[in-house]
Amino acid sequence: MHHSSRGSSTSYRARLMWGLFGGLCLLGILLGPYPAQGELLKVGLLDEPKTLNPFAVKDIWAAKVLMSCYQRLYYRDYRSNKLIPWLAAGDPVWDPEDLTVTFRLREARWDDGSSFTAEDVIFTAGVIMKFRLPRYWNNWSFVEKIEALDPQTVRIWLKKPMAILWERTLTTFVVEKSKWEPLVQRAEEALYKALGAKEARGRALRVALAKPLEILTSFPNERPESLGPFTFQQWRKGSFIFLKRNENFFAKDMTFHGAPVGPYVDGILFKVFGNMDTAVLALKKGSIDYLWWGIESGYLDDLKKDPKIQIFSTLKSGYRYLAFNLRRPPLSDRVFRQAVAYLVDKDFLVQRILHGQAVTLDTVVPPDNTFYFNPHTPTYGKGLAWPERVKRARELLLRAGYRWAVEPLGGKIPGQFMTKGEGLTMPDGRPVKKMHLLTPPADYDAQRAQAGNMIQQWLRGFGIPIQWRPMSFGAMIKRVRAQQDFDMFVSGWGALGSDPDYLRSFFHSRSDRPKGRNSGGYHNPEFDNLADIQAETMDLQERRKIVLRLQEILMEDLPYIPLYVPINLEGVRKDRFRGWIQMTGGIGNLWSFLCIKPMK
Amino acid sequence: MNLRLFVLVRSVQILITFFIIMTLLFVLFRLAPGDPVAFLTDPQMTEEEVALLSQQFGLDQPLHRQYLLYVWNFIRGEFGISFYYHRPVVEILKDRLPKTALLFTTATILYAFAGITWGKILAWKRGSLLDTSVSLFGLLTHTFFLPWLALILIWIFAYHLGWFPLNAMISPEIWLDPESGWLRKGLDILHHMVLPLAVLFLTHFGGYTLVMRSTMLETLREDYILTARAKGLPEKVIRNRHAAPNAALPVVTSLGLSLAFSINGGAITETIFSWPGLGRELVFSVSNSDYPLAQASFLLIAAFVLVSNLIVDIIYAYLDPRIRY
Repeated sequence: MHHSSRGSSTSYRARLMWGLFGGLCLLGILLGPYPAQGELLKVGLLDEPKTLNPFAVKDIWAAKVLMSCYQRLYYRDYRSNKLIPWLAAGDPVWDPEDLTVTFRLREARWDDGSSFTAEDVIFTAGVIMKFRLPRYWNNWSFVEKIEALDPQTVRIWLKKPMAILWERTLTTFVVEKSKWEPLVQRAEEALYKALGAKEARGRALRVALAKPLEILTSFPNERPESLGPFTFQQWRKGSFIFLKRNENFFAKDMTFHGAPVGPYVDGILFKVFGNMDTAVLALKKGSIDYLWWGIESGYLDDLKKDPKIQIFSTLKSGYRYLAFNLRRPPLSDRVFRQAVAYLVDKDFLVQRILHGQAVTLDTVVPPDNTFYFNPHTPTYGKGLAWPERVKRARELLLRAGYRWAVEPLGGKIPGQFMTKGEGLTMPDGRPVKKMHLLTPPADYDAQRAQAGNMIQQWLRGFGIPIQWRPMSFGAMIKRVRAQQDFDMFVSGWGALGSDPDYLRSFFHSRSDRPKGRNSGGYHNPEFDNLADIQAETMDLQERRKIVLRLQEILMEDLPYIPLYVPINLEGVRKDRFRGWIQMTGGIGNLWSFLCIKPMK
Repeated sequence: MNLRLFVLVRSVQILITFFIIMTLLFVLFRLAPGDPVAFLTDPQMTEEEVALLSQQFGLDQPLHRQYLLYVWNFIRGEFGISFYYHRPVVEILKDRLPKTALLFTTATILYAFAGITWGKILAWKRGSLLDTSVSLFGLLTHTFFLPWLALILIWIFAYHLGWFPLNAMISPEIWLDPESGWLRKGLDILHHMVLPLAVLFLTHFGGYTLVMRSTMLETLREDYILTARAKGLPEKVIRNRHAAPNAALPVVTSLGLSLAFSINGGAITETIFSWPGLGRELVFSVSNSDYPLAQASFLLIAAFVLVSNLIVDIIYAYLDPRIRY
């Protein structure tokens, strides 16, 4: 009897389990298909913004969302790559005598219906300058004052001419004064409490600014105001962000390059994915129309086979480089660095390690920066066969007084040596000591790690005793920046922007200090002088000449050996929208969102 | 020792352990390579701006000062401001914790319940086809590599069959629809939970089943079971009332700890299913050296584990009247 009872309870449970499973499947069928949402552009993000406060934003995900809300005075044109008036109504008028720049503003309305005026611009600048907002303060530190000549005209007085005014200061976002004023008043009160009427500098000022900055940046701003093509509607944390088309967008129906801009989509729905695998599946399935992140090469073949998916490839705004510690011999010797440059076969790295998904680079300004990019810098071994590269490097060192016990001789295959170099000594007779080449580990950036491994092989065969050492990115940065305890490292710069003043920050001797950007300890008075001059040259053509010369100097001295510029691969559904616009960094830009049209 | 004294002594022990964990956490994060400010800066920032950031987060202070501040803040119930979110850590945890608890506590209850039930049945039917097949199945799914299983289930049920959503906790299409009522929204969350629950269930239920099965087998050999049989009690009563409660004791310990650990979420499960919970946040905060967020998350887990240990100890006394403190 008990047997039958057990049997019935088991089958009861089995029925219950199957019923539950069936119910859940039915649930799926009942919940779909989803209600139509008009022509929404569905964009996949791999993480969500950490904050939507424009004064606090550090992550790229927030920048992607806020791009459609907060607008700038000048914006980069997608064809000419030059800045064009955006919130400003015309080109800025520069007065070199008075050191002022004046511009008028367009008629525009915030999404709450109030007018955009000069007060909003002055307020935003005031917040940045008063609280020395990290990330933006540098772009405004040379501004004496900013005032409204009338509600639609703004004038900025400079303490001294600074060229970053054009590319950085005038491209700062603008917030709505009436919304932020109460918060800023609280921050001002905190600053007054900390400082009183005193003037403070250095550490004392930083201490006084801590609390006001906390007040200002901790505001989550979960409903950003908008002057842009889309207005912010809803943020469900961890799931999605929804922006709706702004029917009062100031540039709506304005014509650029013969075509009126939209937006032509009803809104943008940002969906958050925790990983690339499901995001790629979502793109294939049509749950998203565009994945706003570079697609790793492993997914590429599968996506290319899909007739509904289009892949765009664009150069990234940045590059990877090999850097030296110029404080240590023989790395302090320019000739030695040039010899290393002969041995680093960038074409091999791009073709074999990056499978062609990059372009080689021979300067320290990436080629997407067409205005400042110098295509005629000195190169080392470009286009030469491997034995010739080895020969040139060997001759260079021999001429400078370096000697080997056994001289290296290059083989026919790239990277191969007929005879490996041994017993390399410096011109003063001392042996070249063992050195280390630091790279991030393969799980952080496989390509950089493999490049490090290849460079190790090339240099070792040549007789340079070098050991490749991959380490966590954080640890590498600490060794390089804070401790300056390294010989060589492979790293990269991303999102460099279009103003080349970063050259000054990377290579000026002033930046050679612990945690400074000039971690290699490069010193060249000619460079320092020209870098300072370009920073204050307001005439673009004049400045360009100096920046081109700076690149020549750097490529002669080689504190860095630039390696390559990676290519960014992005995927879209071509059955959904057309008219994507490729700019630096990819198709994820405001122009694309303004110009794409539904296929139907 | 009476129960009250026992709880008091254990509470003091827990406080000391917690303090040690707190200190260890502080030291471990500072020993770990990586400078948090390095993650927060970009090429266009000047060194003065970087210094201002360090100052803002108190990272320019000597370590002992940072530690004292950390302890003092903790005593006052302040966990600091996240470097990335710029928001109080407590707010972030408050937002993430319920989402993790919903998924992982449901999963833990489901697989523990199924494990205990099946373990009981299998031990009772030892050697049968059912015993062999379910034990093997449990063992097999227990050894599955979780990310692989998750991706396979997503690929079959979400991508190919389209029965379940690919990611996240809610569907924007439903939550943006003004006509969606709470029932539809509730069902939507349930719909999103199915696949992650299935993965957690499949990878965990085998463990519980096998533990329960083996302890049940041991219990069935006890004299009092023979006595119960001799008394002529029905088999069902012997199984469910006499054997199972005793056999379940080790499983209950394990369940208590699992429930406590369930709040840390499974970083992998949450990442693959894009579930916006604590596990993903934990990984993010550790990999980006967001000290306040990482420390608070680990402290929360430590507190839950320590308190659940205490609760399990107390429950033991109720489950097994022979236990005295």
